[in-house]
Amino acid sequence: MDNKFKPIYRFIARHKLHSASPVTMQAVCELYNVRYMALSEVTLGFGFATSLEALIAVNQRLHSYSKRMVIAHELSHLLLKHPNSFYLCQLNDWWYNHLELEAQKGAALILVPLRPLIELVSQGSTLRELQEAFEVPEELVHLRLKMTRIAC
Amino acid sequence: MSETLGAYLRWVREELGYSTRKVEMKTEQFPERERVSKSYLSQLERGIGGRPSPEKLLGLAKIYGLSYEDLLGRAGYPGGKPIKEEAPAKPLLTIDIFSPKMQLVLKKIAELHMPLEDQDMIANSVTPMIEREERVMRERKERRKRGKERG
Repeated sequence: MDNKFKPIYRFIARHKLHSASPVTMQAVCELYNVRYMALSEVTLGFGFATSLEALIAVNQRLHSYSKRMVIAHELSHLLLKHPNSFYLCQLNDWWYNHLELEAQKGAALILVPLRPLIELVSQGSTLRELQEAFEVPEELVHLRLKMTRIAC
Repeated sequence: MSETLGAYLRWVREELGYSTRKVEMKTEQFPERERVSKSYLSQLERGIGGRPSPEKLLGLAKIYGLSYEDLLGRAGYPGGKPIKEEAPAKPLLTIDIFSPKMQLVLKKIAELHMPLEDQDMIANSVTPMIEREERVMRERKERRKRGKERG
């Protein structure tokens, strides 16, 4: 377990996020006042926190799987207390910036629980089938597999 | 191709501090039709050659954080926004009058050259949160001060 992701693991445990698969984001949406906005196609979402409250906003035009990913991504920024408290995510952001990549890994940890992943991979599931099972974009499954060093 | 589009793209690139090589590298992850080589970008900016394809414009919109519709309009595609003869997108407001936290948000928005409609939405969402925090902090400060005065 990577220590820097401890806040993510604690959050998952406290809210029992991995008690069902696909992971339900209802608790996150309520806690973080998640809003859906008609943002342009280059802006996926943003997160913002003050000492009193936090907000996660998601582009309402995205596919539902991508919306889930963006919520988990912004949540990771907040949980990992990345600098500046204002996080803006645009298309193809995460590969160029280490904080964005960290948040994306956090999203993978939240939305792709390890045990169900291992079970499905051992049953021979394809990336596409894993995507459908976890209701996330394929890139997030791919990242989780890479983090766990599982070949699929 | 419009000389205005090329000049605009060059202005955006230079404002972001990107070389043409950097833009080329950033588009390498994109589908092939969206990739932009540095030589192509250089020609585009000088107004040489034909109108860029919508796919190339999409690639540039993603890298620069611009509105794809706006770029289509500037390139003269039907369905894109009409080209407005105005200065390129600038930061929403003068930020000096705002609190440090608000300045940080506005500065980040400006750095990323976000579409103006996104800037509006973000500013409208975070402003009340910052105002609430500042009000609570002022109230706490006043209570501490009153507490100290009472001894």
